[in-house]
Amino acid sequence: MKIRQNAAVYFAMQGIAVIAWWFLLVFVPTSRKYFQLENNSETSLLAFWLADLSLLGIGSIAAAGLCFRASRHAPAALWLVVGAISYATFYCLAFAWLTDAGWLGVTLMFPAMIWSGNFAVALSPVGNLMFRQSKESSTGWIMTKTLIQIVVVWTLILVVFPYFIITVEDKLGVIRPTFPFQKIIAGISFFGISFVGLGSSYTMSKIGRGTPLPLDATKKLVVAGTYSYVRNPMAISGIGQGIAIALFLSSPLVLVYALMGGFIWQFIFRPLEEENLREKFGADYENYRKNVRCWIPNRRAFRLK
Amino acid sequence: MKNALAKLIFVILFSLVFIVAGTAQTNCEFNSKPAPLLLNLQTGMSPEQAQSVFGKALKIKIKKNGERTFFQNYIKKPAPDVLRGVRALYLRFYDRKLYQIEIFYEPRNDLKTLEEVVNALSAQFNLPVADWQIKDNRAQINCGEIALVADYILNPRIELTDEIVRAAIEKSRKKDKQ
Repeated sequence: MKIRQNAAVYFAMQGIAVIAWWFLLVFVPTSRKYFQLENNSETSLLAFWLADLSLLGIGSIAAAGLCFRASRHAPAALWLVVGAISYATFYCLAFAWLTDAGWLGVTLMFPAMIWSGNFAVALSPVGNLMFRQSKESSTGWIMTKTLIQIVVVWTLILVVFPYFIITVEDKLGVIRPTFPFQKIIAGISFFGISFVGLGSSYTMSKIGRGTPLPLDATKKLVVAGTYSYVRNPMAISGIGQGIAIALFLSSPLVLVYALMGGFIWQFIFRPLEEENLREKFGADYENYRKNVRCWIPNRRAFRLK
Repeated sequence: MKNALAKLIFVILFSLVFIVAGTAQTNCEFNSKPAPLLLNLQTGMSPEQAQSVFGKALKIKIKKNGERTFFQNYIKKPAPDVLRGVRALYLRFYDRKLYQIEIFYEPRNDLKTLEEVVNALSAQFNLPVADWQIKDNRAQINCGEIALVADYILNPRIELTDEIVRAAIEKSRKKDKQ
């Protein structure tokens, strides 16, 4: 798979976008009003030029080059960019909270921070630390851990983050399209797809003897329940829940956020996870992968011989 | 005089063709040179020969029909001395012959990038580094019927395959499906 190439393309685009954005600010002064951090001054925005162009613009392009060449220095360059963009994002968020201006910049910087951070994690030599098998314990304790993970993760990704996103959306004045029976459709979809997630978590804990978290992962290959139809029912469920929430809230940005989660999983973490499963489960996993698709469910359940 | 010159040019060109062909052939010695990075395994080995490489550290069994994908990992338990540094191992047999060796290594300080894996393999097999084709973070070199592949997704991984046997297997499976 091509995580390194994806990272190279992403960071090159990010670097070019940062430089292009500064060209826009310099040569089209009227654009500054959409990004300025104070209502009556451009100074605090324009003061970012040196750090932005050097660390984020040139820094991202340099990181892209190192990724493309598969250099051993690539992770260091990626983390430098992640540090720079994280600092800038949180600084601008705090500034926007104080002045109630500059929300568009914050909205654009957050996804960049998330993509950059995910690529840096994936390309750092910490891969094996990300995937650890769960310790031997009772079924009750495994189920409890899974339940705690579900409550924490679902609260964060389905309540807290969408809440922040719609708050920012309100400040940006984003239009929220609606249609008849929208909330009913969203509610039914949400509960339906949530059952898929809950069922998958239960199967994973009961049969696989581990939790959905890669840091506390299964000991056994799970090819039962929803997993016998599709390889990643939990990712499908998570993205589906996000889309249902977006529909319920009529929020285009929450929809983008849900789809972004899917892209991050597909282009960054799927290759790592699949490689880890090949190391762990051998020919059984290869057989499973050959016969069961990742995103589109099979019509019939697959059984390992 | 002209004829002599033409003959001389012909002899030089002919010699050059032979030298180039000879050089190319000396690069293809996967089978004749067991390498530590491949645990001194070679394609074409019988299950017994592969077993003798590992001694009591592994029990390699194959099906009666001569086929088997043998898999062993050392993620939760330490690898025996003969497999030190190996994280997982696939040995694929067909017709009682080893046709594919695939090894995942634990992270190593001397193999931190794909480039370093390629350099190490080139040194062990005496292969020209320039002949590797690197695409999508996957390096491959073909030498006659043998293909050597290296990549680095989560850990360093190398794969040595007898392409003729692999093609025969694919053909036979397609035939079975029909």
